[in-house]
Amino acid sequence: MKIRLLIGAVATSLLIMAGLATGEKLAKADGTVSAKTLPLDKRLASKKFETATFGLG
Amino acid sequence: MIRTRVGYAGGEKKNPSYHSLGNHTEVISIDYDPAVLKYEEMLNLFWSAHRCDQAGYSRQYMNALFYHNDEQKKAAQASVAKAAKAQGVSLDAVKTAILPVGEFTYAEAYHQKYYLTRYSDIRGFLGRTYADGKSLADSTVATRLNAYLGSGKDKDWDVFVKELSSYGLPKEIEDGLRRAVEKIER
Repeated sequence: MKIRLLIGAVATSLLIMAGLATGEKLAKADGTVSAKTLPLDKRLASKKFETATFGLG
Repeated sequence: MIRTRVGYAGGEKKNPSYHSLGNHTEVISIDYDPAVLKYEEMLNLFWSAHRCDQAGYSRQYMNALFYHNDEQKKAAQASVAKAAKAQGVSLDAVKTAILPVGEFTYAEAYHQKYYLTRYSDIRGFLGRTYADGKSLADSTVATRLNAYLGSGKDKDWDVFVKELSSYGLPKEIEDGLRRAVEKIER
């Protein structure tokens, strides 16, 4: 009984640790715009643009 | 200004994240229509926010201009000289970096449109509409709502109310925002 409990606890811990380690996969900028569902977004998704990037401290 | 998002740039680490940033810097990326807004206007805004002889706390929180092309590089360099003169700083004391942007990595979804986290109904709707982080970060609707509902001043509420119906928000959220603006304007 104790061994089953111990195995259960270890398995649960491993699952939790695996879950924590699975980070969000972060996207890279590729010049495309992904937001196209809402009307304003859809309209602006095809508009030409330039990009500026700043580090603001 | 069409849309903004936050992320990591300027470093060499392949896949940076908030908890494993390497030598990247936290940055804001702004998509703009050059026919409406000039890069130089954004540079003026940038310089109005900090002194050029202050480097920032660390590489993560660095004051820096990340250029995307030669034109931006030249404009950034010219603006440094102008800002240094205006701020009474000699050119060799300037600490603001001018660097190539390199690869831009989107920050985690919970960092995007941060002010909207105070509004669970709006954030919830946008999160359901744009389930992946990049779409939410790329959304002009989310950008505008974040700007209007966040801090700062000089907000044109008339423009906000006028364009609100084009956002495609659920009626109860749109009505709630109209009521909130009425209260602000009173």
